[in-house]
Amino acid sequence: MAAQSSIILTPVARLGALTLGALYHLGNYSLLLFRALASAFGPPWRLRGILRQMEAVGVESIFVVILTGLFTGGVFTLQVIYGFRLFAAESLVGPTVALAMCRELGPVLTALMVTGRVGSAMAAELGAMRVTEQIDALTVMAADPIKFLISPRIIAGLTMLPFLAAVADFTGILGGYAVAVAKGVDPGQFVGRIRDHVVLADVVNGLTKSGVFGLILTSVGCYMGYYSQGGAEGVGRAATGAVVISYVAILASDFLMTAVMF
Amino acid sequence: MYKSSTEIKVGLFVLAALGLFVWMAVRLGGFGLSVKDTYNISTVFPSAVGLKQGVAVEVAGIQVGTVASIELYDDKQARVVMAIQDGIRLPADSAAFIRSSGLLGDKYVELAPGGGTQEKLEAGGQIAAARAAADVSDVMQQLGEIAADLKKITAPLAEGNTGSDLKDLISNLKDMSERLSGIVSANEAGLTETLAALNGSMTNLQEITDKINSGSGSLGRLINDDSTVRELNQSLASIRHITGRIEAGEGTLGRLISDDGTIDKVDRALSSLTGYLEKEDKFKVFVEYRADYLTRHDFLKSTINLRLQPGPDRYYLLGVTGDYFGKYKRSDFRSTDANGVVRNSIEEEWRRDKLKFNAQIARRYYDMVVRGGLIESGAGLGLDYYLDEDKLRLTLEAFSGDFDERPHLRAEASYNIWKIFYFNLGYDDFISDQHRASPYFGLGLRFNDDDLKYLLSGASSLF
Repeated sequence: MAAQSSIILTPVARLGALTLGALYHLGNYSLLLFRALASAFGPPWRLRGILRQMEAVGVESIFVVILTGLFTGGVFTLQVIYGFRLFAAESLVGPTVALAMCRELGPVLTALMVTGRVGSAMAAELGAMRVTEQIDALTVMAADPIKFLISPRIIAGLTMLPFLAAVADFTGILGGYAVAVAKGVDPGQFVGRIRDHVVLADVVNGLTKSGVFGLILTSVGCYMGYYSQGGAEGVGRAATGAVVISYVAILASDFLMTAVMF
Repeated sequence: MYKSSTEIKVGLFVLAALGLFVWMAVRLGGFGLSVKDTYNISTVFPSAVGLKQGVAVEVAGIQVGTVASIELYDDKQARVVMAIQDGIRLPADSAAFIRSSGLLGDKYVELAPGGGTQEKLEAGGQIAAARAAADVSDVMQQLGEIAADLKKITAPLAEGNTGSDLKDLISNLKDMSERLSGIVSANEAGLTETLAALNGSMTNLQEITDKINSGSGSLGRLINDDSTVRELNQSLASIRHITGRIEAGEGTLGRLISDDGTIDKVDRALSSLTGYLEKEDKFKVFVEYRADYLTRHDFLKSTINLRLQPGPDRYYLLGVTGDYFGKYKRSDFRSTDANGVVRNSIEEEWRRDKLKFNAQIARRYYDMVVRGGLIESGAGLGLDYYLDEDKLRLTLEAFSGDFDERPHLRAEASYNIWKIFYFNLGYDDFISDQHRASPYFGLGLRFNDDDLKYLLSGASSLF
C-alpha cells in the first residue's frame, strides 16, 4: 500500500495500525497459549523438563515469597490496628488481615514477585534463544519448540503459583500476628477470630486466582521471548514488556475474577 | 503491515470473549456505572451535624439521590440541597429526616413522601424538615429521664416509710363498703322482687324433674326404660369390640393406627413423592436437533444433542454431530526394498461423514453460559451470551481440531423465531489453515419435556 502523507490520514492510519497491532498480538498470544496447552496433553511427556521449570518457578521463589508475605502482613496489620483502635474493634484485626491475605494480597503479591523473578527471566531466556537462532535449530531438529520450551513453563506456573500463594497467605498472617501482639492485641483473640470469620472458600478462591496468575505470567513471558526480534536490544525489550504486560494482566484479571467469585 | 489475518481474527475472537467476560463480571459485581440525570430540591434543617456531601437520599430505604451540598442558612440553620434522580416524582408535601445507619451512626437523609396533595415537587422545590428520628443519644437521654421517674416512685418503698400509704388504702376500703351498703338499702324493693322471680323458676324446675322421674316424655323414657339401656349397652359392647381390635392392630384401620411401621411407610412414601415432584419441577430435559448448511462445502451438517438440566443454573450436554470432515489419520511407513534402500512413505487417510461427539458441562451466570468439555470430539470451551429474554444467543466456541494445527473457532448467532424453531447463522473454523473456513446457516429444533411427552403419546397412539 502506498504511504499516505496526508496530515489528516496519518493519525487515522496510525490508530488503525495500533489497533490492528494490538489485535494481532492478542490473537497470536492466544494461538501460542492454545498450542502450548494442547501439546502439553500428549506424549512425549518431558516430565524432567516440567520438574526443572517447577523448581525454577516454585522452589527458588519460596524465599522471596516468604519475605513478601511477612512484611505485607506486618505493615497491613499496623495500618489496620490504627483504624480499628478508633472504635475499639482490635479483636477484628486478625480476620481482617487473614481475609485480605487469603483473598487478595497473598495471590496478587506472589504473582507480582514471581513475574519479576521468573516471568522476565523466561522472556530473556527465550528471547536470547530466538535471536541466537536456537529456536530455529530446534525446529530444524523436528522438536516442536512450543512443546519443548513453552508448555513446561506454563504448566510449572499453573501448578506452582497456588503453593507459593499458600506460603504467602500463611507467612502474611504470621507477620500480622507478630506485629499485632507487639502492638498489644490479644493473641487469643487474633487467632480465635480468624477461625470464626475466615472460611475455606476464601482460601480456595484465592488459590484458584493465583493459578490463573501463574498461567498469565509464564505465558506472557514466553510469548514476549518467543517472538522477540532485534538482537540484544530486542531481548531487553521482551523482558521489560513481559513484566509490564503481566502486571497489568494480573491486576485486571484479578479484578474480574474477584467480581465473579466473591 | 500484518499480512496474516489469522492472528487478527483470533484477536477479535478473544477480544469478544473477554468483552463478554468483563460485561458479566461488571454485572455480577453489581457495579452501577450509569450516571443518571438529576434535579435539585432543598430543605432546611435546624442542624445537619454528621451529614456529609454525597451521602445517600432514600425513600422507603431505596436510594433516590444524593446530598449535593450543605450550606449555612440564615446564619443559624443548615440548608441541604439534594440531587434527586429524574423520573422520581415526590409529592410536594414530602418531609425530610436525617437518619443514621450502622454502629457508627453514619448519617443520611430519608424522605417521607406525603400523601395529602396531588402536586409534585418541581426542580428547585423546597420541602419541610421533620424532626430527626431518635438516634442513639436521644434514646439514651430518654431512658435516663424514665429512670429518674421510676426512682421517684420506688424511693419511698426502699426507705420503708409506707405507713401513711397503707393507712390511705384502708380508709379507701372502708369508704367503699359504706357505699355498697348504701346501694343495697336504697334498692331494697327491687332486690326482693328479683328473689321472688328466682323462687318461681326453681318451682318450675322441680316439676320438670318430677316428670322425668315418672318416665313421661322422651327424656323420661330414655332414663326410666330398661330396654333403652340394654340397647345402649349392646352398642357400647360392639364399639368396645371394634376399638379392641383396632388397639390390637387387627383389620385395616387397626393396622393403620396401631402399627407404627404403617405410618412410617406412609410418611416415607409421601416425602419421597414430594421430593420426586420437586425434582421433577427443577429437572428438565431438552432434545435439540439442528441442521446447518455450510455454504463453502455445500454440506449439511446435523447435530442432535440431549440436554439434561438439573437446575436453572447448570446443564449437561450429550450429543453427536455428523461432520463433513472426518477423522484424519497419518501413518509413517518405513520399508526396505530388494536393493537395501530404505524408503519412507506416508499414508494419509481421511474419512468423511464422521460421527463426532459432544459431552459438555455448562454453568450459567445471569445471561452468560460457560461450557466446557468435548465439542465435536475435541477438547474445548464455549461461551453463550443470551439477549432479548433468551431469544437471541451469541456463541463463541474454541476446541482442538483433529487435523489443523490451529484451534477450531466458531462464532454463531441463533434466534428463536417461533416456539421450538431456531435460526442459526455463523462462521465455522474461520482460522483454519486447511481451507475449512465456511459461513453457515441453518435451522434448529428444540423440544422440552412437555413437547417430548406430547410427541411420545402421539407416537404411541399410532401403534
